Amino acid sequence: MVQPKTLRVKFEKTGKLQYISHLDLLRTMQTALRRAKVKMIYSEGFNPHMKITFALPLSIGIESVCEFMDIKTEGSVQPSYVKDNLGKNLPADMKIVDVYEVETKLTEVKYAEYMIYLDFKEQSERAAEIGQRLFGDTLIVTKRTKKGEKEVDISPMIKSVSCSFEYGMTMIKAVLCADSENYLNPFYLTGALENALGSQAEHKKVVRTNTYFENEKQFS
Amino acid sequence: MNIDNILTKVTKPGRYIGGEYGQTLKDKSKINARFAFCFPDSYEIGMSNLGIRILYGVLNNIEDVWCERVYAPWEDMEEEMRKNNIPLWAVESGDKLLDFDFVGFTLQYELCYSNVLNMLELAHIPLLSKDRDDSMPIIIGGGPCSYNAEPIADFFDVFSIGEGEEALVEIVTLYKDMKASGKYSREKFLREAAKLEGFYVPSFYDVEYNEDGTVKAYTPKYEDVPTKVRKRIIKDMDKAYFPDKLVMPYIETVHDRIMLEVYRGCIRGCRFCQAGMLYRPIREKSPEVLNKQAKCLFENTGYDEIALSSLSISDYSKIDELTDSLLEWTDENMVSLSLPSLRADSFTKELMDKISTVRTGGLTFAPEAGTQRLRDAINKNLYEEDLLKACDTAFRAGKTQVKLYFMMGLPTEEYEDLDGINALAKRVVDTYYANPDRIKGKSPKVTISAACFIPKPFTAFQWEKQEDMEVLLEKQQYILSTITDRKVKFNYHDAKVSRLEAVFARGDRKLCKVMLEAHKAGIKFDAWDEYFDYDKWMSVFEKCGIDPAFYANREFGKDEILPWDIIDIGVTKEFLLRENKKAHESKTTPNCKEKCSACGADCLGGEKTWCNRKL
Repeated sequence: MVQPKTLRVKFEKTGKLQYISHLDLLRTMQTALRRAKVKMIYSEGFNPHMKITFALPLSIGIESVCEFMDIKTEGSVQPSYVKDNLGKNLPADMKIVDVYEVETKLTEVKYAEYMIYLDFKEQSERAAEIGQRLFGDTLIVTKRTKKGEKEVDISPMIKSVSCSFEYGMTMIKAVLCADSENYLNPFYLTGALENALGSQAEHKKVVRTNTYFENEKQFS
Repeated sequence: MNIDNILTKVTKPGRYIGGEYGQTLKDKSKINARFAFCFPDSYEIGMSNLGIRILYGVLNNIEDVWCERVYAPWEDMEEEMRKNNIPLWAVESGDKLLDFDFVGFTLQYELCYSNVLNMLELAHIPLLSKDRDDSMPIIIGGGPCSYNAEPIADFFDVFSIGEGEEALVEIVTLYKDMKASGKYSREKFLREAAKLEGFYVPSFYDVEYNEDGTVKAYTPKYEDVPTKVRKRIIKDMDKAYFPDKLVMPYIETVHDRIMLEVYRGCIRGCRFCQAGMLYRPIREKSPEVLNKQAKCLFENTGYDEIALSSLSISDYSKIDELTDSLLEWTDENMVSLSLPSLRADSFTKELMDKISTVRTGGLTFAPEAGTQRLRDAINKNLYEEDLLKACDTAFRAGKTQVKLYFMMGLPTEEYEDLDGINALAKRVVDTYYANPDRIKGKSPKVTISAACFIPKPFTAFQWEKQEDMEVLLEKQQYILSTITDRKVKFNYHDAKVSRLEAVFARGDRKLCKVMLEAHKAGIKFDAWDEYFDYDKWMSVFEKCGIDPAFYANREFGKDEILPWDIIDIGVTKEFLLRENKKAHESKTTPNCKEKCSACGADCLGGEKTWCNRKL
């Protein structure tokens, strides 16, 4: 028998799917893989489950065009088969971008890029100006942890950030730390801006647009 | 309607977004009737309901009909909806319920009534049938509670009595035809609907009461309205529609699995059980059809568990044939089988091996009563040695946990019967230790769960009173005091919840005003402990001048006209009276397989049934 192999699935999770939690995504993938008849490797034991790993967590309310999932399959499974058949079996707002055999580890993801659109109505331009100043400096936010709340400077976790006024909205483009020790949720940026402005955005759209290795090359 | 901003503020937004794999979308411009199928409880519970899964498919199989799903929004969502003036919408299209031709509610338990009213209000639909005009959707109810829907009769336009696969198609077709011919008005439509078999239009009946509050008469207002509405059944289950795909929820639901309906009805005739009477006569599906349906659903859903669903699975005449043919393909596909309704007297090593091939779960049996005398009175027809043998089989296979379901407050119950509950649990513990091959150092766990008896319409116990709440509470404490072994754990149901259920189960139309008042008081989600507020309910009853004891704690007269006498389920009142008498004599009745007891249900016909030995 051919040795089992690991396939990397790059997919989009947009639109309505932004409201689906990590655990729900896992369940959705499991049934979709079974419908697609992908020959998966199962864990041993009383309660066997498919071997599936996701690269990064994605908070509810964030869309993504660059999600990664590694699946362990039987050796005979072809990436093109998974791409064609898994895609057909997913909900409408989920798309398979690519499927390939892996050479890297999912833990090698270091940074993630986000495009954030905030609609502050007539205050959007002012918000963009405030944002430019705010994100250029130390940025103290209140982080909620299991032990309680604490004040943290998140600026070391911001690799790059720009804030501008476009299409009548405040736009933030940011590259943030995204490994297991240092993971910055982009909602800390939007929250800090809303606080500084003193009002909430009427509408928010946050999209994860890219992920990078330590050397800043695009993750694959 | 833009709900994006709200979705990030509420818990489990996956309940509200739709777009699940397997949902049905249609082009609105080609649709002649839109049906909003409402489940008056949370998404997680509603998505698990087999009836909706079936009827969703039946309706969407009609080309110019579009059926969508609606669930009760959780409180945080409701708050946002009210604040932003967003009316209740259907999951698939996002359109408000007022845009629909039919709004249907499945009535699975009495405690969901308050949610029905709340959902109508959230949909901006007038609550009372008489206040709705020709532009409004037809509000239709169905499911087990519609067999006595009098407590909510004023809020519905029509009830579908019995199995809906064929009936719903007929009423929707009638609606489409009347709309197309330009003859439609609510009144005319309902008059025609009342002539179809299995449809009950409550507003077409005048109800009179005696001075003591009991029913005097139900009189049809028009000559062409039937004096009794007979339930509908599907005659041949092999030919009945069964879904070939399912809507796949994103979030975890209560029954996240394939439910394969093996047969309808029950041969047993337990005297407290409503389902056992409502769904008679028994009608089986053939193993070939079931295997095909299961395979098809597995391929189209990807679920890894198939539950063989029915009222008592081991009574299926071809259970071995079915499980064998399923196991031919389930094992290799990592699909497990579960049998949720297993009788202890049919539990064998062979059967257990089949169900635990991939996954293992706990075992649950329902002796229902602690002594043979009481088990005979309720016609459970289960013997202690059968139960102990079943437990022994399970223990020998390495299981250590058993759950036992009981009922307390049953008619003819004595304290001796309550003593029997713990005695039985102890003998189960002893059975564990009697097994020489048991794993040393591991102790068994026996969980006793005791529900309160609720007299239900169309059962042999429909005339019986529910015991006063004080007595029920006392009996719960008594059972608790008999338990000394730490290996035995005792759970019991909230007697207050059971009492309210009893009130509405045997209620009449006078309770409609109580429902309306309860709704005004903000009552909802009664089936949830965190929302159920007994004191609030009691103050509503008081305000309306209605005594709940009249419904729950009164023995109904055998010659009394019952609020549900307007419905004909096939099973006759004479049979139920005979059964009631036998209960008080602690005499059993053989099951349908052994001997026909002339319950009357055979008048409905049916294929592959034990009636007249047509199996």
